Amino acid sequence: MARILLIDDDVELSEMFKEYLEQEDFEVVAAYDGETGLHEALSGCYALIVLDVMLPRMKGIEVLSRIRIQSRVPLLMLTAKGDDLDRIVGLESGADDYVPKPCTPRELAARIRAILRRTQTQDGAGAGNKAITLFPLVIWPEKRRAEWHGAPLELTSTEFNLLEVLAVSAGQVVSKNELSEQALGRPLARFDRCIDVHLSSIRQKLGHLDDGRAFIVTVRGKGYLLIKE
Amino acid sequence: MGRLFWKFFIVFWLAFLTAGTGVGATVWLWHKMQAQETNHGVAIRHSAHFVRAASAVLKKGGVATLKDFLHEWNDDHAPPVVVVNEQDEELLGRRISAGALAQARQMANSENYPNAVREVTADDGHRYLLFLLAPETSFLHRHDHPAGLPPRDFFSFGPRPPLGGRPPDKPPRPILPIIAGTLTSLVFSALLAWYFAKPIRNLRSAFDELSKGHLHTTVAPLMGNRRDELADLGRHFDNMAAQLRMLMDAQQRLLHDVSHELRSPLARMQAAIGLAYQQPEKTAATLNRIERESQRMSDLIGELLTLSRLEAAETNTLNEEIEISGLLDEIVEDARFEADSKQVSIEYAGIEEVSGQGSGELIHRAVENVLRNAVQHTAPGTTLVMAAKFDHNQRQLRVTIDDQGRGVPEDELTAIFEPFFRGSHQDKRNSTGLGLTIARRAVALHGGKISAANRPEGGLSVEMAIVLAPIPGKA
Repeated sequence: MARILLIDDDVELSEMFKEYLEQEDFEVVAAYDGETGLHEALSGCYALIVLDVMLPRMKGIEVLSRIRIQSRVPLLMLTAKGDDLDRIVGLESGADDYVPKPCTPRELAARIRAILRRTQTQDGAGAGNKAITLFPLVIWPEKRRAEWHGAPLELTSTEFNLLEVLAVSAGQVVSKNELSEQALGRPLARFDRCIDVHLSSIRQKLGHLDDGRAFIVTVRGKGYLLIKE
Repeated sequence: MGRLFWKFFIVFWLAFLTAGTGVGATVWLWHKMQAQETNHGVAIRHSAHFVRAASAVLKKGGVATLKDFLHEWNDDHAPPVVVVNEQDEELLGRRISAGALAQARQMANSENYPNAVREVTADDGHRYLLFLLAPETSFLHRHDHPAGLPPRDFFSFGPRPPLGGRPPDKPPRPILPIIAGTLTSLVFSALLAWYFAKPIRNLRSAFDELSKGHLHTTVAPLMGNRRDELADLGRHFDNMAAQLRMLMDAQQRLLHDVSHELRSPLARMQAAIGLAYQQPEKTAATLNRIERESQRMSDLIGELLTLSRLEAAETNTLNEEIEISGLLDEIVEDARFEADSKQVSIEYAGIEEVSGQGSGELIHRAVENVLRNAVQHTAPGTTLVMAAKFDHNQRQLRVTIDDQGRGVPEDELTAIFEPFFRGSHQDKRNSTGLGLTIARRAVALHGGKISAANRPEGGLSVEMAIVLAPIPGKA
């Protein structure tokens, strides 16, 4: 049973979400303000964090970036419907995915499951030690570990998923929709910039190849391609 | 260059040209008249010589010689010397008006004009009268003074230019000054037109920018150091743009806040619906929740409409006759219901009977909103104190409401009246976030003020000053 931390200042809403998610076999702890939420999130005993980025006072985005300084725990953010700026800033700050609020609890539960499926199954089956090597990148999918030039990469779970999908089919163009399905567990919505934001974040963490080329290439109108020597 | 520039330019230029031409023509005419007068004077002065010469020719050479002589003279455009015999026949057959002739004979007889008019007995025995006709614009045909040459002209032989000397200097050709004047007027009218048209063009482009939604447009920097009505216009434009910007920002903020405020109950409704699907046995409870949330949304929308109605309201619509003490009693009575559930008591001593002009509904809303806000924020089990006073001189109603809550941080004391203000420690569950905003607007419409202060003994004190116009016809 996965433990989930819900950070939202709307007490009534949190209670209802909690009730719903508990029926869906999640264990839910609610925090009603940023400080408590940050403290709980960093305790390390949650499989996933749901964060309302519209928190008053200590802004949700600030909580998010402070969580990311210390932890790579999967994080789903609740954003205002129609507020693209919040969404992009949130993804850039390291959120794994977002759900626009107001949302139905079913949508929320589905999104939580999609993220957990990717992270947990592999965590559990971490016995294997098979590595995908695409010098200078090495990925151990079972361990959810990646190295760049021998140095470990700090990736969020969604970033890791995306990199893994690209690495498995290295040398081939992977469409954005495919990336979304495989890495986020959901089809790509129209005008969704989620994949682009995550990929630009991965690129920043990777840097360029020795000869100055980008390791991940954008194929306009088609998708992304990981270079295979 | 816009049309305005060309209009200014052409008008200024025409004005310059007209003025120039007018002055030039006047000067020219004046000069011409002077010259004419001079010529005329010269002619008169010399008339005596002509007459004397003609008479000498007649005496010495006879009639035939004089005839030749006169013919020659006429060809030279010399002044016409007239020679008339006793039968009033002119020697060369020219027609002389009877009046002029009579005048000449009279002048000959009067002896006053010994040189201008002469009578000579010629070799053929006839007596001839010799005199000179005045030039074209002659007075000879005038009845009052036919020979009209004032006597002194015939006798004054003062210093005068030698006749037949070198010709007078030709006046300079007028082409050069005309070209210079035209060019100068062109330059000056262009400058003037530019001076007027430029700030107007600047204003126009600023208006264009503004209408495209660029509210940060300013004109004042383009006006430079200019100080006149056009520069004032620019400054007024900037003020207007700033005002618009402020209003637009406020509207944007309000829209943003409203959508946020509507989103919260909507999110709770969706969550409740989700729960109802998941646990059909709890449908009754979730329906209850949904109803509550939809009531909140409906309240919020109602308050929003009230606020927008108040924003658009004019002060002159507040002409209702209201009785204050009853109104306040009613509000306190209503609030006690809500206060009781929180074990909060309301202390209110009442006010003497006061009536005035205003809007009963608005005053009711203002006081009620502030009072309910106090009930919400005071600690459970405490007492609220409401006091009302009426100042008859200033016709001002002062209502103060003191609570025993946690108060408001000093830097948020004015912000609490802004729409959807969320204080640092405010429980917003039961408020729409518009109550105090509506109160402020309602008080402002009555020409009053609302202010909040932290009480030294703890809690918040809100004071409303409402001006009530006297009822017409009552002292």
